Amino acid sequence: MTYARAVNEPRHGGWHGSALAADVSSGTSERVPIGRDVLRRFIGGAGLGAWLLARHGDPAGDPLAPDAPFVVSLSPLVGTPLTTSAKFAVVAKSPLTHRFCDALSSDRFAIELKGAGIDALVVRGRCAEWSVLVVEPGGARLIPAGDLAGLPSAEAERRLLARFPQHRFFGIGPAGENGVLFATVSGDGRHAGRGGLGAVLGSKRLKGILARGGVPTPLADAGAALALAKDLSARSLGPATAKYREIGTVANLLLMNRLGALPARNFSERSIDGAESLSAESLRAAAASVGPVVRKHCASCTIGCEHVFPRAGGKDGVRMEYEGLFALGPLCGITDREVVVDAAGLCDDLGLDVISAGGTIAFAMECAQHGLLPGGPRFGDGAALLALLRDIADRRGVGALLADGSRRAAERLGPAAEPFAMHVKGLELPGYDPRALRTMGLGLAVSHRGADHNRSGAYEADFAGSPEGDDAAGAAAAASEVRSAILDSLILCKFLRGVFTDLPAEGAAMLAAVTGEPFTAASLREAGERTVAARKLWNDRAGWTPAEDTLPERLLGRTPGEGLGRASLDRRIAAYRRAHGWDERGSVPAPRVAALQLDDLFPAPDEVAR
Amino acid sequence: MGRDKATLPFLGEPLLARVVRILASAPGIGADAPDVGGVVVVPRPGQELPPLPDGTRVARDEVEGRGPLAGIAAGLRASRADLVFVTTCDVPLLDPRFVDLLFASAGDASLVFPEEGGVANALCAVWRRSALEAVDARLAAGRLRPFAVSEELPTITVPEDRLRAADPELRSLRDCDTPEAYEAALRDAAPLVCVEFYDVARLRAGRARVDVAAATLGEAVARAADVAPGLVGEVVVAGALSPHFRANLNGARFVADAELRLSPGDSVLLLSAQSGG
Ligand code: SF4
Repeated sequence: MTYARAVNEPRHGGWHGSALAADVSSGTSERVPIGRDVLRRFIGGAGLGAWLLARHGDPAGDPLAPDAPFVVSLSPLVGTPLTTSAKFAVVAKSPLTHRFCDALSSDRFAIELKGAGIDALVVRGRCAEWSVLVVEPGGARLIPAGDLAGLPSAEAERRLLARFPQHRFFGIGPAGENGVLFATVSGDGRHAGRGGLGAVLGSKRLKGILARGGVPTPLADAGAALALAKDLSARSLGPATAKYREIGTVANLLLMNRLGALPARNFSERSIDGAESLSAESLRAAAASVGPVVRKHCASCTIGCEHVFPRAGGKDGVRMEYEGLFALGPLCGITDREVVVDAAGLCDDLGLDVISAGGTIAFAMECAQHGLLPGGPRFGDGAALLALLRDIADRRGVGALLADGSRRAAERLGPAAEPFAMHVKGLELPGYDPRALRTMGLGLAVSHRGADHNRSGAYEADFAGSPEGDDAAGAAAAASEVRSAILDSLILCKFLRGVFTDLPAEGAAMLAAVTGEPFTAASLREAGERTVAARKLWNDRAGWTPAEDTLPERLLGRTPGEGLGRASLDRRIAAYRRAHGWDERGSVPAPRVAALQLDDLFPAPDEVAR
Repeated sequence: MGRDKATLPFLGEPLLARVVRILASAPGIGADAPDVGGVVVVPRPGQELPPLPDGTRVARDEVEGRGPLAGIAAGLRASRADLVFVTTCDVPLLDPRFVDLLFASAGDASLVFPEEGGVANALCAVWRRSALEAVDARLAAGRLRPFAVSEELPTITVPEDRLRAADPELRSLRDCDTPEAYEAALRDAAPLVCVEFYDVARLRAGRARVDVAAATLGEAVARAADVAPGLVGEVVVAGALSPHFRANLNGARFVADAELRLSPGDSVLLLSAQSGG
């Protein structure tokens, strides 16, 4: 790979003003300037990623084709002292949903990649052999990685960091190498989990990316930035984050069970007997005989939400989160603590998204129960779960069928299996049953990524006392997407969300101090709306139809009152679209596209024709 | 009353069961003090008991006709605590804070009697287990008046004004000796509800749940904080639920109005506002 000369762009505080575009087929890279107006409009992370994907990606293209871009988008706050800011967004077309996908992760990798003097990395092409892309301040190069093929990402990381101790790694496990459509990308055990972006990196024959920086993030007003950082750090240690610091997200399991919001046995039930054995308290009590539960932090984080549970028998400890706990446990009818923790550890090693892995296996279990998958796994069979995870990663036996996710597996098994595929747009549902959390149900139905709890925090509206009426629910779901888009563009951790009293105003103050740009609450809110609309416009061009904004039939409820029901969901979707300023069909009207300054990225079809 | 008071229905449960549940929620008696062994019920000889909450122990006194002092002796003998709160079964408005105040007033005394209208009450009082020797001696001598034990053991009477700090209307001392008193208690009683704790609330409460008598959501939150003081300052601030926490009624709907009326048997779930992943 050759080094390209850097384009000399004026630097702004926070941003470096360029992306590195690497073509791993030809082994070339070049630094591409990103204009100040773009950075102002899209900020970074999910927002800047949306802009880059729209610029470089063909919405209608094959997500696993060499030409499909794999974007790593940083943010102006990376490398600043603001707590939880060491984050990045991975953005690509999802091979699982064939829709826009952005997945976030964090840690030193973000700081090192940004320290290479760039705001984003856009990777295209396909290596001739398994390789690792090394990004440094001088540019990018490829190193062979045939010896790392087949290894868990964490093991590849250990070996690479032994050779490159100043670098940080982000890469794939066997599932990504084998094109599993819900493979993750991970570094230091943190996964960009949803949508199968690990398969996109794998399709480029890249085991991963090694980054080393050194170029500091410039601060426009260092004094103000430091004062804001100090204040945010202090607040990050208050009651709004106590749950994450002291227990972790595993605390959700018992509560969801009590609320009838815990998906069990492939959503055929909403709670499970024996949930106590998977409670945070039980997990801790069981771990106590092995060793302490270790709390870990991402780089630059004062919260430290990660709780690593030790395992007996010399096995590595496992970071347990609610999503893995529910999906590999109750969703599959399993309450055996050891099995669930081992399954979560296995997903980490193989590089599998725990939600889609659990969701797809639960689908197979229900199909087997109904005679649609002879010899398939049974609910509650922990040994079958563990074996299937390996088979999926290796695309072996039934695993080959399930490696493409529940929607495609159902298509292959026939119409009788389709009601058991619990997905939206092909993405398996997270652990919040829409029959109990109905604003969340709306958020899951309309999300650009498919059934997704990270780009929409609509459950917060439910926890605050569900909004009364369709319009209020629609407005709450739309507002939640905008708020998430703001957080994901800054990027600050979503676990900080309860700390802010006015996120747009506080975020604007941080951006102004770091970048020197005159951000206001209104301009930041508009940036959030712009990102939400850009993803929608991209999806339109990828073939989105209004019919795919929906929930699986089972989750609408069998009786009036059990769930939202089709008519009520449709009314709420209509209200959600109105709240975003979109038309009835869910398209972003031309005046709205223009008002959000998206017409350069998404010109009207007749303009394209001209 | 013309019928056994223990089985009198009171807001959906037998009167005795209600009193046991109230006692079990008092600090130093219930789940926060496992060594104490919970609540002990001493029935009259031959008396049939209604269903009682899990964990309730029963001690029998099979000698007929010796009255409440024999019951107290059986209870003290069965208890594992140093200080024992003794009451009859017909005080449905008993307040755990009243119980707590008597415990806190004990000092080195063997008996702690509340005083109302200048009269000390030995049957809604704290007895030290070491008083058993004196009690047994009196029973053997046929001297059966509970109050008279105070003649030979160090006794503290807690004056009315101090009692009212914990129980302003001294409802803890209202018994149901007449149909009118029973009806009045029913009118004035707050329903017994269960407060369940999740995530940080459970950590701070140091327990999974507690039963409290509360007419409204706000009262349930405040009573829970009385019983589980670890909630105060973070989960419950100035007697109300902190904005960083949420309440849910019966697992069915999230509620915030402190004036929301509760019904007997309701469950109030307290949980962190950050309840997603
Ligand atoms: S709160 Fe957790 S996920 Fe967020 S930055 Fe900190 S350690 Fe990472």
